[in-house]
Amino acid sequence: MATVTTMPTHKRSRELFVRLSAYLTILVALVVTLFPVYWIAANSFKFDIDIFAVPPEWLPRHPTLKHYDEAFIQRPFLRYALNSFLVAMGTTVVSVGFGTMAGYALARFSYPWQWRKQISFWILSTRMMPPIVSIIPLYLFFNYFDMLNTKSALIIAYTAFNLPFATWMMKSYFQDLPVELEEAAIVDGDTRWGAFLHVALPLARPGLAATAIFCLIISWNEFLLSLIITLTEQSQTLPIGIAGRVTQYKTYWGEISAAGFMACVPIVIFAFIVQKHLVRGLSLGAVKG
Amino acid sequence: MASVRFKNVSKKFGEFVAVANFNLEVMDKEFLVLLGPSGCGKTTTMRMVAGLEEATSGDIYIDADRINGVLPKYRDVAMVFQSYALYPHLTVEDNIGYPLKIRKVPPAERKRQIAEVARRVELDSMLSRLPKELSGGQRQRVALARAIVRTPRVFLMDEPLSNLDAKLRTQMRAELKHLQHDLQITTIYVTHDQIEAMTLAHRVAVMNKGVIEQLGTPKEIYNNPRTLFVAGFIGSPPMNLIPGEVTNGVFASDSFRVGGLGQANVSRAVLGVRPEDVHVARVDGAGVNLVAPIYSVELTGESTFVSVRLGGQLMTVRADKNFAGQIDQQIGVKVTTDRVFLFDGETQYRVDF
Amino acid sequence: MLKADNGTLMAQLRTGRGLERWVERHLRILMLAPTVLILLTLTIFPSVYMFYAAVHKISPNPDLPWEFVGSGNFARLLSDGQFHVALRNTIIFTVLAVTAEFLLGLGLALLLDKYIRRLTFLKTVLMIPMMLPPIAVAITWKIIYEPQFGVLNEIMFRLGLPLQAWAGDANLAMFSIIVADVWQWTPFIFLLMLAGLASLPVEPYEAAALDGASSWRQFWDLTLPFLKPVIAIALLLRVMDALRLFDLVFILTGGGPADRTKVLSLYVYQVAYRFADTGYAAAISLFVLFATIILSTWFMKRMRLAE
Repeated sequence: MATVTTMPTHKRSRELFVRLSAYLTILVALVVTLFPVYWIAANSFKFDIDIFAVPPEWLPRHPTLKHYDEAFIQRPFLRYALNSFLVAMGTTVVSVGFGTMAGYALARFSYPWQWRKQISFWILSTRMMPPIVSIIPLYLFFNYFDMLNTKSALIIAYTAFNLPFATWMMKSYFQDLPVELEEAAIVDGDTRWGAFLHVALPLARPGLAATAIFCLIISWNEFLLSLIITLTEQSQTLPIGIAGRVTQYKTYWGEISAAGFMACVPIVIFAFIVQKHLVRGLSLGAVKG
Repeated sequence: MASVRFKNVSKKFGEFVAVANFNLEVMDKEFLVLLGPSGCGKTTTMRMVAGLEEATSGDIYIDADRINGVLPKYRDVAMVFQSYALYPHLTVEDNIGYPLKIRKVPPAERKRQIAEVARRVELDSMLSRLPKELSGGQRQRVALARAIVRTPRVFLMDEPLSNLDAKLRTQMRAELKHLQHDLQITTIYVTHDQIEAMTLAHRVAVMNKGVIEQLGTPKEIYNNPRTLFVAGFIGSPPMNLIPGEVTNGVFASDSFRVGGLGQANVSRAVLGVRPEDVHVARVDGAGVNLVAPIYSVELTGESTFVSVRLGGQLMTVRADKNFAGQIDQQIGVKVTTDRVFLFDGETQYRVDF
Repeated sequence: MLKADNGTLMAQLRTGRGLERWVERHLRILMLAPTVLILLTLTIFPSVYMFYAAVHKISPNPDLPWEFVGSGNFARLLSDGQFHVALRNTIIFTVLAVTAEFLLGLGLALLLDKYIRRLTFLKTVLMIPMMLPPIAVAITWKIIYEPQFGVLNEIMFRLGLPLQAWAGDANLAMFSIIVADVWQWTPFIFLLMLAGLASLPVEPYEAAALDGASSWRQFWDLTLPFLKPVIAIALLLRVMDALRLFDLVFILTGGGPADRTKVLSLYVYQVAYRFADTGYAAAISLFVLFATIILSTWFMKRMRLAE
């Protein structure tokens, strides 16, 4: 009957209204999200005079790579980017390497006196520690060992934040795997370690990749620790390089736009690679999206 | 040849006793089934043989070798898991070949053995597939093949058929039995399904709360239950267990009376009788033990199970498939006296008469 | 089929191989130990060292010895007006920013859940801000807030509203920082809430609808309780992050104008590096450390997030 199969007109139009406003909201959200990113990209391709134009030049009328030349050829931003990359890679290898093993241990083994819970909790709390808290001792420590202005110092400092992250992420991925698979491997003649290596690790590979990419992102983005530990061009990372061109007297808009935009590009690519793991990565494995 | 022997084996998880002072010898080439409800310790017992759990105390032997503390890889046992535990990232061929690869069998030899086993379980055409591309029955076969490929000393099976649908389960049951007979490998099989236990086992160990209630052939277990638990656990529909009192060989409970129990005197008794040993009779028939209203009538095809009210409980009677009766209709019930069991409600043990 | 020679198998069975056996027995410790040791070194050592530094007056001249002052640095916390301002600013920022992000993120998630669930690509695009380097975000907003040629003032002008100095205005500086932070982190709440909503079971809603519960009632009685664990995690992570705010302030305002955006992280940085008063900076750091430990432990206990 008509009354059962079709909705009353006022209800239908109300649903249409909700649907339209939802799509409109998505559109507004997209504009708000993307405009700043677009704006920094647009400015990086403008001549200085166009950056300062009033009213703003929404589209670069005279596109130029001048600022890219300034930043990456004339000034050492290529060097900064390389430093960022090397430090991020080093941190990721150390953190994911040890974190995978620790995550596996916490996911699978039992320890006396609730140690498993205590250690998990403690590892998580080290992640919660504000970096400002460790800058003074780390500075004094690296100063003492003559390690200031080295990439190894940065890798050590970053590991303090990435290792707990990697441990918790991998713990949550390993907990998702059925334990029988490793038991089967053990009965089939493998050792406990062999079962981890031959069965658990290959199955956790997507999680491993996601964790590694998150570590790369965290390290690539880090600013405060690098600001304190490094003062030389040979060791400074990209964010420090950018911040260095915002001075009290002059801000080099074109240059920082070019460098800032370039700093964002790999992150956006990474974001798309790990999109399936975003929720878990951002919640330290607590929420499984 | 291989026998498995448990000597005073106990396993505790914290305060919880999973297996208590367990003694059992599984003979060479025997198919032994550990049967019991979930949480009775049967899986834990098996896992101790595999080396996935360590006994808290006691000794486990395979032949003359004490295997406590021996790494699983040196025990030479194979296990089939309830979930099959196939390696999802490996093909059927690599799954079956995994135990050989770990043992560093050369590739050519490995290939030959995999082919041989695959033929045996009829998987030869599926070797390059991944587990997710197989049906439930095929996965089960892969798990079996992986277990038999290296001819272990002992076969362990943890509810291997419980994830299959009913029809496939019956078929795989027969295949399992045939395979074990062919291979002549000592097998320990864990299940909560009494039909599986009855059909597969040479001997059944019925477990409850970490101990063996009774060990014997399926026939013995069915015909001569030693305890109240075994009596109630084995048989479908289960044995009728009616609490009451026995004086001078006469059992009495409410309106229900059974005589001819020798000279037994038990103050807290439980009378056990299987549905097939109780018959429907005319209300005024001779030697009727009980007259009671029908509670329900269930036709299974070959026969009809009739439940009648007896005090606060129900008594199941097996009747002819042509039985016709209405709910609440009064019928007579007659017990085959020489097929009843008497249990002491205090000790839970059977009382002879 | 494979059958090892029984003699050798048994020989191994009895003895095992020394190293292999040892590794197997101690695997749970061996796999966990490196991480625990590294983190111990990187957390316990700094904490102890910082406590040591906090009870000394440390001269900027490295050749001068440290002078023991006992609780002197901690006593200074009580009377240091700058510290109080920084503490107050941090709290204001955290409360306002996280509240705004939470309400906005949850609201958007509830509104858009049905429509955006399958638009994976769009969803990822909306997530971009929180992944970006905070420094890049800071300079982006610096350009937008620029009083002379910034986009924001252009919009104000078109709307006929008075132009503002934004990050340079004492009354608007904190607001400007919050807006940039909300822009960057609302997606985080949004994403987590979407994940929470996606995992909601269907049956209770069908039952509630049959019982005649309004959508408002369903939200209070079903959605919110179901989302509680996800909300707890999202809030915990956001609060911890907001408390350590540094990069945005460093670039956008440098703590000014008139200390209106000076937050704790920035203050510690200034005390340590501009005033080279390491001992006192250590004392403030310790305060921040204990405050976060107490806050996060209380929160996790309260929300039962331990596992």
